[in-house]
Amino acid sequence: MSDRYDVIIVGAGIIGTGIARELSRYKLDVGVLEKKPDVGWGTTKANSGIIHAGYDAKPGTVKSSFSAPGNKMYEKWTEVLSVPFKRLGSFVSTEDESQLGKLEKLLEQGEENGVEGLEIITDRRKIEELEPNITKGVEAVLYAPTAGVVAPYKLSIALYENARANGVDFQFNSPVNDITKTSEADGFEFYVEAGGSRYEGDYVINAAGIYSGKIADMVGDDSFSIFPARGEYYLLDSEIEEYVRRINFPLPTEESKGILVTPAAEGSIIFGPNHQPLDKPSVATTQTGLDQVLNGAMKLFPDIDTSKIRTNFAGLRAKAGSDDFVIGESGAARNFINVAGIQSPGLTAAPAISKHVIGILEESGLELSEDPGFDPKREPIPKFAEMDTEEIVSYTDKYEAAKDIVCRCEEVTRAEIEEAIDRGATTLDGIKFRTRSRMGSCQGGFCTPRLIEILADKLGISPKEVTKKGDNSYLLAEETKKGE
Amino acid sequence: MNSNTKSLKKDIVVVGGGPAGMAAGLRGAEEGAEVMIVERDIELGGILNQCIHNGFGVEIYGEELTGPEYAERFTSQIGESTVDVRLNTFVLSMQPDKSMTLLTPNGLLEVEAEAVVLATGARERSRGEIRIPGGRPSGVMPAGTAQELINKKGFLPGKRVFVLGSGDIGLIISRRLTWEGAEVVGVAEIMDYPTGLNRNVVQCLHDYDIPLHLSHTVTDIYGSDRLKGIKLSRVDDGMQPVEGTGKDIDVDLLLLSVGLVPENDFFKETGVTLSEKTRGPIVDEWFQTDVPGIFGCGNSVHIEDLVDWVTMDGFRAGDGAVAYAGNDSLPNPEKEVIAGENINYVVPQKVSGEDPFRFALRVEEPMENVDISIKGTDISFFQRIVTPGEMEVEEVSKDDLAKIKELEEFEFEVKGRN
Repeated sequence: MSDRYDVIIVGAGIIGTGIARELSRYKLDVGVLEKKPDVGWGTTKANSGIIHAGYDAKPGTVKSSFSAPGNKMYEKWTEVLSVPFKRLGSFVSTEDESQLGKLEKLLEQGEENGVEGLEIITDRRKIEELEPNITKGVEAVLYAPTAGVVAPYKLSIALYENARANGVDFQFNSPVNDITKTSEADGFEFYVEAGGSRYEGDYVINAAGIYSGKIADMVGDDSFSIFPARGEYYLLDSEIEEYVRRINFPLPTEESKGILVTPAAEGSIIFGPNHQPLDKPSVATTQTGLDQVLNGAMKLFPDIDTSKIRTNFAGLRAKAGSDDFVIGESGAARNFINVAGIQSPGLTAAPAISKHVIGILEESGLELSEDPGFDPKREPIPKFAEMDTEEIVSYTDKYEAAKDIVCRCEEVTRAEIEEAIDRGATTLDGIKFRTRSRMGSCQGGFCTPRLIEILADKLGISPKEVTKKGDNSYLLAEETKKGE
Repeated sequence: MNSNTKSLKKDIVVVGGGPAGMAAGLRGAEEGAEVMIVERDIELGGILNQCIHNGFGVEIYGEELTGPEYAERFTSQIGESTVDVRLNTFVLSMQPDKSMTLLTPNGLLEVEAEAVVLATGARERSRGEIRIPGGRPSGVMPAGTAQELINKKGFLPGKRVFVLGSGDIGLIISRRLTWEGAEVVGVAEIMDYPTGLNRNVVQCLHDYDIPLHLSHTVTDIYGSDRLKGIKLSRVDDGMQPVEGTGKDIDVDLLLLSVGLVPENDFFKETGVTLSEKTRGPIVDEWFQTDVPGIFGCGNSVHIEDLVDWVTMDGFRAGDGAVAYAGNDSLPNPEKEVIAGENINYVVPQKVSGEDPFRFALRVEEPMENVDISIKGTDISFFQRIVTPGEMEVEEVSKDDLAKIKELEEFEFEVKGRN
């Protein structure tokens, strides 16, 4: 017997989880197939976390139609899902007055796209009021007060938890290796083979990010290809998070919005990304790339304390050949819907795209009947580090494990770690993205041995089976000779 | 304050129950003070508990003890003393007035102390801090984390190992891994001299034919899930990798022994001025910081080579804390101690000039046949070899002080004899 779904979503990134959560409002059987052991581990987890104002996309593109509307939906989305989101406002800066025209063009473009509150500032005093430590050379900025930052991995986790609570099935470690169109007599449209199981579905939504071209190929759709482009980042210590107040871009180029300097939603500062087209997906960082990132950041903030760099990482853009989003039913297969090529501003667009895809499904005949039991709210894991005395007293009274601080840098308790595991974390990285353990100044040096024990204990596996991020990422090779 | 929160008063609260904190706490109790030691682990001893090799105690006890044996000498004395030991207890916040909130197994506890000794030790520098590019597989970790996994948890984190950094932990762990049947294929050091103690280079690498690659560093990390290998490159005089010298080495574990950083969070929280060199607090000869009544000692002040020195500093800080808590005024540290020629740093950074004091310093460059001296005086100490990897510890005596009391500052320098 195979599992039968009304809608099968391939990929549990921000798009896949966003659509899954939107579909969970209706009386439908929805299944999400994800090749990794957790949500948001592709493009979603490693990007700048920017909710763009929406002036970048050329009017008339698919991107432009989703960015500003997506941005407007963010307060509501993040509030009901309890995900940190800050509308900090963004700057595009130039040190060259002759480039003022470019800023004006962006402003016009933004207004055409429906972006509100855009303003060009040339008054140095006002610039410094908004961003005290920006380079002295800045002559003019385009200020977009509606831009914001979010923790993208937290958002996909919240969407996943809420979708699951409302009845969506998630199958992890399930890479899709084949999709077959059925014959009419079967009474449904697709067989999807993934992770050794076979699933039946009436609709397939291709939200496979970097791999969405490959998934489309499986139904004979060669209308687009995905060209991965790597972006590298530096992440700084949260100690200096106040040094940068807004999302700072240089003037954009043809291929990207340039290397930005921004506060991250959960504290700290991010530099990046650069833009490197790749033949094969890789998220390894390179010295050359990281040097580009540092140089780019130093142009905007020449005096920033780079000794506070805590780590580096890289992410991939899932760029379609057209350089635009590919959203709609495939011309090659009925009921197969592509949501592909979702590069920047994909995170911004995600809530608008999710809503839009529901419309596509409805148009192509999916019956939508609202589920009265749908609960839009998702509660976060309590955060010990942010509690006041009274909250600590009640939290520690309730959970004995809340008196046991495991991650000393970020003050994460065993209660939070165990809850993260209860909510679906199966790896060290899964715990990290949910609780911030291993994100602090020691980067896991102190707490990793304990996290391994807690994971093994909760999951009922041997410590040797615990992994950093699934697959072959084991942490312990074997027991020692004396093994205590 | 919440009604569910209890509160206590103590003469001295020592934060951290490692060698520094145990010495400070014990000394405080011996001198009659009411002392509390706060330790977040399940036992006293700190990092000593995972250091099952011997070599501890040569300076103090004249014998070679293992880490746990060394710790035991203190824990047994503390057990018999009046020290109030709080295990599994975490300091949540600390105020400059030396009041603090603790999270204990019985809930929150507010404590007010006359004096505080922050003996919080150090943490290892991470991969991110030294900015090695490459993949982010499992199998890359600080050497001390590997030491804990092996010695306390009973697991080998890898079988074919490369170690970056010739700090003592990296050297000792190389030998330990070899004993456990892992293959340590090499140790790389970016400097052109080893940064750990010479005795460890000999006993942990040479004795096991483990090659030490000086002036080399790791410039790439391969693997997306588990570590597959690294690139080892030679560096030039400016410590920049030389193009074309990279060599790929297949390993499943990369250990980082690239330095320790004082755990200075509570110093920062209470407004203590830190030294840019040591990243610990600026202290006087009693290890008092510039916030009155807040003391440091051991690795929270600067990274020490030998636990024996840590213990002696702990005793000294304990003496200082007792004096402060008992309202015996400590002399005003009005003389600045300056790190002069070929000196990276000197601790203490300021002294009163009234009491004899021990000083510890690290040189900037290795040298032979040198005098460590105070500029403009005849106070000097001969050393045959100095290197940044070995801390120099000497004492300025009462007689010495009498000769230099008119000096406004003490500038230390290290100069060759030729």
